[in-house]
Amino acid sequence: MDAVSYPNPKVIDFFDNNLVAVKVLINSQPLPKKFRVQWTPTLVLLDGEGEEHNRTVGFLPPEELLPSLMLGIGKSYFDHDDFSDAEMTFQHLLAEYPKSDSSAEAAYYLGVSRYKRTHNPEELKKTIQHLQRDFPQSEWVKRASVYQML
Amino acid sequence: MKQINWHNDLQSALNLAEREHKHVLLDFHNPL
Repeated sequence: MDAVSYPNPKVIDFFDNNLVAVKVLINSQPLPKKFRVQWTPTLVLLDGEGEEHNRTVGFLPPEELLPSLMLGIGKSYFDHDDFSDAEMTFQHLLAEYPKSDSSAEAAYYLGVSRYKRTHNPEELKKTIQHLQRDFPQSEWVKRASVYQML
Repeated sequence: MKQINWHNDLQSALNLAEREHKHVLLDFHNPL
């Protein structure tokens, strides 16, 4: 990560605008034990109250790191019932990184966020259609498959 | 050259994140 992803100008800008970043040595304490981290690199995304909303294990190149971080931020908004900001974050992720490894999950959460904001079941039907069209091989198609029955 | 501004204390990072409406990223790494 230090050699490839962190020096990337887009990554630096994203961190500047969205994150406060903390380096933690795996053999230090207490944070590895507190967050049950056994392997590196592990990235854990927290809100300002220290609550975890997403984590990834293993190297991510810039074009996967950025959507992964956006996914975590969107999930943080979602977890805090801030469905409008969650929607905006997932939409932004899908517009900038339509084919990343995080995109199908973002499409799932985008639809669910819209449903939570509007209480309109049509949003869930649109979600499975969106996933089937753009991410037919994704596990998220299976996870959303029950919405076809609505 | 611009680079990521890394912190090493979680509490001060959380305080800063609250003030600036940002999120905190913990990067657990191995120095080797």
